[in-house]
Amino acid sequence: MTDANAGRERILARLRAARAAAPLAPPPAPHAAGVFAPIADPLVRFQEECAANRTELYQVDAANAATCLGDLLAQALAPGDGAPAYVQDAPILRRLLAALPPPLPARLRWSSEAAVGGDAGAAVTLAEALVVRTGSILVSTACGGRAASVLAPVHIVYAEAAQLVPELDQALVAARACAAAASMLCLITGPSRTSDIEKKLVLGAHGPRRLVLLLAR
Amino acid sequence: MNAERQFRRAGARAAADAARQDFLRAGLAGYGHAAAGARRRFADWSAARDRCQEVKAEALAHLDAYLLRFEERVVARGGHVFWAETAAAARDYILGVARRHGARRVIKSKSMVSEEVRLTPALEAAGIATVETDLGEFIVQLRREPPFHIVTPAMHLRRGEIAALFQRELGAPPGADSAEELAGAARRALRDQFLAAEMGITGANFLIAEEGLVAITENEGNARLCSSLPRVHVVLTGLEKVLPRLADLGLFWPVLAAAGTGQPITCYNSLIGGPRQPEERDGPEEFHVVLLDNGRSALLADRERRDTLACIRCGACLNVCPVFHTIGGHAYGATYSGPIGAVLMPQLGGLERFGHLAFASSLCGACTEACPVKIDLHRHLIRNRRDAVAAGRGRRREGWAVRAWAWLAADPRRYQRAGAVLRRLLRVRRVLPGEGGMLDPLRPWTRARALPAPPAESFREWWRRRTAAPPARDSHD
Amino acid sequence: MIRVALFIPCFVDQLAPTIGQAAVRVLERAGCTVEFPEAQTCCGQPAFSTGHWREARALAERFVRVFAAAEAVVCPSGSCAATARRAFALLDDGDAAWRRDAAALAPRVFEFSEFLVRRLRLTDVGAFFPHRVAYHDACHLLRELGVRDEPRQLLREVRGLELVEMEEPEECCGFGGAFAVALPAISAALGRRKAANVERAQAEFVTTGDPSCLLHIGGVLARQRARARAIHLAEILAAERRPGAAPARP
Ligand code: SF4
Repeated sequence: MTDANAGRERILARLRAARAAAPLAPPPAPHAAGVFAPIADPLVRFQEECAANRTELYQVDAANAATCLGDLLAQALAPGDGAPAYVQDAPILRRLLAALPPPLPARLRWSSEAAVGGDAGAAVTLAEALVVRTGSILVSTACGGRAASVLAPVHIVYAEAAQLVPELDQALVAARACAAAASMLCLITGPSRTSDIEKKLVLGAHGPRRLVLLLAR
Repeated sequence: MNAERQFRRAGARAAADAARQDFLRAGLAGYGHAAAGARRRFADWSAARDRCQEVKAEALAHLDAYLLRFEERVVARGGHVFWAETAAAARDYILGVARRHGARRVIKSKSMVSEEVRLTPALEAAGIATVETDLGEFIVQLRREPPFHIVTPAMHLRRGEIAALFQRELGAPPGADSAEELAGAARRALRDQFLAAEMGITGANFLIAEEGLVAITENEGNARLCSSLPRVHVVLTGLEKVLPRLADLGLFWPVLAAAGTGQPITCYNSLIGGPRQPEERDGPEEFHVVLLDNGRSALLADRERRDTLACIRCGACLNVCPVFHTIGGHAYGATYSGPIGAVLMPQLGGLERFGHLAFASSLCGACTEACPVKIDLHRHLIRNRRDAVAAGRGRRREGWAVRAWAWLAADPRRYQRAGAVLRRLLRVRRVLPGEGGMLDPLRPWTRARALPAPPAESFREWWRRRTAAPPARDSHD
Repeated sequence: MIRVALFIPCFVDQLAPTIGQAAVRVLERAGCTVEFPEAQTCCGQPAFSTGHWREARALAERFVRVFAAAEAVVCPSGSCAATARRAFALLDDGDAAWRRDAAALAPRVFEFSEFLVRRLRLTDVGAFFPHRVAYHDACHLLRELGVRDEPRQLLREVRGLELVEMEEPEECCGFGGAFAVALPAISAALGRRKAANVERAQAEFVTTGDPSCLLHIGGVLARQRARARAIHLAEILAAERRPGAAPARP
C-alpha cells in the first residue's frame, strides 16, 4: 500500500503542470544495432570478455562437468574451516554433485533447506542468461535467494552454451520475464571489485573474490 | 564567513598545492584513459549519446505518468512508495520506518541523495548507528568528511593516509598498507555490520517505470548486501531517475559505465522490484522507495534547464573539468561538486547560497562534451550567471565594468576614444614600479601574469592610415 | 574572389593589433578582398558570458547590423567567432525575428583558420617560420566550433616550422574571460600547467587561434621568464622568407 501523504499530491500536481503537451510516446527502445559494433564470433568474444573482467571460464562437456565442479569445490572449501557450500537446489546440480567424493557432500547446503549464510565458503548456482557482448551472467533470486550470488567468497555458476545471448537487449527480455516472479535480478560481470584506493583494482571488495563459470557445451 | 568567500579561499588554497593537483589529475587521467577505451567499444558513441538524451527527454516529458506506473508496480509486489517533497520529509519518513522496526544499526550503500538530505546525521542523532559500506564512503565517513567526488569519494587520499586511518580507527596492523590489505581490512570490518543490521539503505541509478524496478549499479557488492540481508530495505532516490522501460538499460548500463568509470559495464547491475516474495528464501520483509523532489519539480518546470534532470551522476563532467582538477571536490562546499554541482546546486539549494558556483568555471565546455546525456552544462552555467545578475546577485564590480564597456562599445567613436585612453593609462602604469605588487590596480591579473606593453596604434588606426595611403601593403613592418 | 569582412575583437584592436594586421596580410595573400567595417566594436562576449544578457544583446544587434550584408565574416578569435555563431541565438528573449537574423548570419561567420581551410580550401599560405611550435587547442575553437585539425594543417605547411604536440593540448589554459580575474588563483594555476606543458614540449612558441588565451599563456610564460613565447596563428602564417633577412622572429 502506498503511504498516503499530502506531499505526493502536491508533487504530482507540479509534475503534471510541467508535463509536455505531446502524448506519452517513448522513442523506440534503443537497441544495440547501430550503437555497438557487430560481434564476429560469439563464443570467442564471450571468452575474451570473461578474461577481461576476470570471470574464470571453464568449458566443460557432459563427461567432465561433474569432475570439474568437484575439483572447484574441493579447492574453494578449505579442509580446516568447515565452511559450507550453498547450492541451488536444481536437478542438474543434484546430478552433477551426486558423485562428489567425501567429505565434501557433508558440506553442501541445498537452497531448499537454507538461505545462504555468512558462513558460506562457496555458492553454486545456475544462471538465467549469459551475455556475449559484456561477458556477463544474469542471475535472479531463483538461484537460491538474493544473497546466493553475492555473500560467498567464491561463486560458481553452471550454465549451458545455449544460454548465451549476443546482447544486453536479449538478456533484458529474459530479465523482464523473470521479474514477474523474482524480487531481485542481477547482471553480474566478473568478481566483486573496488578501485577506491589510489585507483588500484582489488578483486573481492564485498562480494565474491572469484567468479567461476562452468560453461557446458 | 559567507559561502562565496569560503569557496574563494578553499579554491585558492587548493590551487596553490601543485603536488595534490598532480595526484588528483593522475587519478582522473586514469579514468580518462579508461573512458576513452570504453567509448571505443561503441560503434557510434555520439549516436549512443543522442539516444540517451532522447530517452531521458521522454522520461522527463511525462514524468508524472511514468512515476505513477512505477509506483503501481512496486506496490503490486508489496513495496511502499513515499513521495518526499523536501529533504526533511525524506529524513522523517526513513526515521519513522527505522523506529517502527526498532532498528539500531543501519547499513548504507553510496547515495548522493542521502548526502543531499543529510540522512546519516539524522539517523545518528536518533541513536541509530549508520555505517557507510562502499569502501570510499567508508573511508570518508571514518574521516568525518563528505565525499570528494560523486563516484569515487576517497580519491583525494593516498594509501598511506588510509592505512594510518585504518590503524587508528579499526586497529589494523601497521604496515598493512597495500590496496589489497586495506580493502581486505574494510571487508572484514564491515562483514559483521552487514549481518547484524536491521535496515539497509541504498540509492538508485534508474527507476524502471514499465516494470516497476529499481536499478542499482555498483562494483563492490555492498549495495547488493544492503538490499539482501537486512529485514528492511529503503531506496532513497531523486524522482527524476526514471527510464520508461527495462529495455532502455541495454543502452544506459554500458553508457553509464563508459562515461563514469570507463568500464565496459559495471560489475553488478541489480534490479529490485519489491520485498521478498512468498517463494523466496531471503531478502527484506519490507521494501520502501522514497522519491525525493526537493526542488526537482521546479526544475522540471524550467524548460530551459529541464535537461539538467537527465543527469545520470556518472561523474564524467567532474573528471574532465579543469577547475575540478585544480581545486578538487571539497572546495565547492556543496553536495554535488564540479560542473553538474555548479549547475544543480543553485537550483536545489538556492541561488543565494550557491549562485557563486556558476562563476567557478572557465566555460571551456569540456563538461558538455563529456556528458553522456548531453546536458548543456557550460551554457547552463552562463544561464545561472544571467539569473544571478537579474536577481541583483551578480558580482558588483564585474557588473559595473561590463555595463561601462557595453556603453562605450555602443558607439564606435566613443569606443575608439576610450581605447586610446585605456592604452595611455596602461603605458603610464608600466613605468610605475611594482607590477603585480599589492599596489598594482591590475594585481588580479598581473600577480601571476605579465601584461605586454600596449601598442601606440590600435588596429583601426592602422587600418585607417593604410587605406588612406594606398598602396600601403605591409605598411606595418 | 571572396570579399571578407574582418571582425577584429575589441581586445585585439586595442592591445594586440599585430594579430589583426597579420590576418589582413594572410587573407590578402590568399587572394581575398579584405574590408574592415569601422562601425564594429565588440561582439558582446564579455557581457554574454558574465550573464549580462541585456548588454550582450545590444552589442550582438550592432554586430548583426554591421555584418548583415557580408559575404563572409572572418575573425582571428575562436571565442568571438563562436559568440557570433552560437551564442547570439540564445539571446532571443522570445524574439523570433532576432533568432532569424542571428541564424541568418551564423553560417557566414568564420574563425580565421577555419575560413582558410574549410572555405578557401587552403593549407599552404606560403609562410616561413623556422621554429619549434606547439599548438594549444583553445576551448571555444575546439568545442564550440569543432576546429581541431585546421590550424595544425596550416602549421604543417609552414616552411621551416616544426610542429610538436604538447601534453594535454585540449586542457583549458585557465583564461576563461572574467574568470581570469574573478578567481585568479585557479586561473593562474591552470596557466602555469599549460606553460609547463609548453616548456616540456621544448617548444619555442605556443600558438592558437584565440588571442585571449595567448595573452594569458604568454603572460604566465613571461612572468616565469620562460624561453617559450606565445604567438597567434595568423602571425605565424603572415611570416615570410625574405631574401637576406634574418629568420622571422616577430
Ligand atoms: S551532468 Fe552529465 S557528465 Fe555530469 S554527472 Fe551528470 S550525466 Fe554525468
